[in-house]
Amino acid sequence: MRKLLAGLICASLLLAACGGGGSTVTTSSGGSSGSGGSGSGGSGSGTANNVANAIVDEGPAALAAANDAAVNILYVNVTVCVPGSTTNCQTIDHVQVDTGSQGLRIILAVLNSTMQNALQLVSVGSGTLAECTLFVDGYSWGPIVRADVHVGGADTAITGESAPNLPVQVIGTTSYPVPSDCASAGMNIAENTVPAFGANGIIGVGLFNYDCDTFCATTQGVGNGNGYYSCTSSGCSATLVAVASQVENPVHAFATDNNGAIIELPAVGANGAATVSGTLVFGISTQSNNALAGGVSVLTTDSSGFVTTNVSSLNQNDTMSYFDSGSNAIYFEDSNIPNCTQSGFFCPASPTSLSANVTGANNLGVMLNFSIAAGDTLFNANPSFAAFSNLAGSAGSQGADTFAWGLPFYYGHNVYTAMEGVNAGGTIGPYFAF
Amino acid sequence: MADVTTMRATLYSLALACLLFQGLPQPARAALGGTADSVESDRVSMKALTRPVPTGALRKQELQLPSGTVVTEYVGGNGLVYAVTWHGPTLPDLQLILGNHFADLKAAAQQPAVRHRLVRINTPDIVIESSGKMRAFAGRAWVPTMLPSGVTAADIQ
Repeated sequence: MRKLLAGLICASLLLAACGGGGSTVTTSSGGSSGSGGSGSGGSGSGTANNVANAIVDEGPAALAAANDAAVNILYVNVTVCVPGSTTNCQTIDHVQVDTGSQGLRIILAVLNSTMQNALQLVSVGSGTLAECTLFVDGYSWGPIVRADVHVGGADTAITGESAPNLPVQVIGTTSYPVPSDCASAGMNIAENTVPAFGANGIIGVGLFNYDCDTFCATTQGVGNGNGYYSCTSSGCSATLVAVASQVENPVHAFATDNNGAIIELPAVGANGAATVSGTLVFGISTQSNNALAGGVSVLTTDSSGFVTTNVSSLNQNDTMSYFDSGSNAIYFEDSNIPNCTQSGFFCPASPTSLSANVTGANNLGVMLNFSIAAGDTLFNANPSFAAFSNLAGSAGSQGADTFAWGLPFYYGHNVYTAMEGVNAGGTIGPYFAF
Repeated sequence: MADVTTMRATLYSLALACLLFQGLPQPARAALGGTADSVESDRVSMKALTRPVPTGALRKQELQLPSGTVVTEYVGGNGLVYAVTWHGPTLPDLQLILGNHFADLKAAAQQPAVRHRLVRINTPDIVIESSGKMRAFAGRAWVPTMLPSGVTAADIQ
């Protein structure tokens, strides 16, 4: 969809990555810095143990090679080590930060041969544990391994927060064929490579502790595509699996700062930015750099992780609303706004400002303003830009009840994702706050 | 999802699909556009329980899947399924419930830009909207030309 100027982008990536914390918006690929965002915290440097440098750029080189550079995808570095080792490790760049899922997943081909051989598979019964991870546009298939996972601190070392012996999915195995019900529910579209997946991996730091939890530990969660399988030389069959062996949200496994995370990104102007750098901060009100600041609105979610959004001009309650760093635009239904002809986004005739009331399960309501510009115009004006604050798209037609506050909302806001069942700054999660 | 996958990956998944589905008996497809009788075959295929639906203006049949996901098939006066919805913790077998229109959804899923969370297609022949994230999926599909008089998109929930 978008052309990539590889050399220029690498330059801006390096500049941004060397920023050492705080937040930066580059508005040209030469690396000149724009002003920091109004809502940007700039809390703590990138070397604090609970802070990971986060960047929005055009993604791993494989995306550019496939002419499919990333738009509005937030990445961090994650270091994985053989359990117990501090030297047998690999740092993986461009791991997508996703508040809409749980757990760390890495594309097999990204792991070097040493790690591929050294990370031990998790067993279930007499077989190897594997998972079919469903997305609405495809599936990712692969086994579960255990690794010591480090994120934050210096970003390329075993400093930072540590999740020891964490169950992690390795996507893209060729050892076991994809189960038919996995492929069928996932539309036979495999997302098992870096270009197909859009990242070298994904770090799910969502509201929940495990990706499936008790649902997959009981017979109810067995089969039907989404879930776990036991694989032997004769094939894979759906299995229930104890929670302790499931892919786990790394935040839940940290020794400290384990009640949630904050994404802090600067504001992005109306024309977008080549790159954006900010931080992923672990813990909520556990350290001086992650306090639940005064004036922040705390919206608890229902048991599925949803709040309700009502766009003022539409007056329809979207009951499946969520704040999602893994959505690259704001997605909702609005038949008043035309779709683009080139890309899958909204293309209003002129930039449009909207307001929406968002209400949590705790009945706290907050009015939010957002603006939408024409996606095609944004992309054509700045083909090498990776970040756009006013990108939105249709979630469906009349009656659709999805409202995804995707990454554009995160620019200029500090967005808190508090995990289920624990106190985070005085309120028990799960909640979103900003 | 991604607009461009490598040729090798595409061929691999095609080969895999052939491998998986070759030789399996093809169940009578209920599915969108099919007859109401096919709801029963869907129920069997998905090991679902039927759930009574309060009578109203719309004739529909709900299938409760073992996963907890609910599939609702809307049946017109002509006995044909004109719409289907789903919501729950997992995706249902979309190939089964969408029938011939599964290919449309698959094509839409391979459009650029939108990753992971949303797929939609809106043509005069078919509307499909599929969205969601881990542990919470929802979607609906209908054939606009088959909508009974007085039924609009907003009725298909």
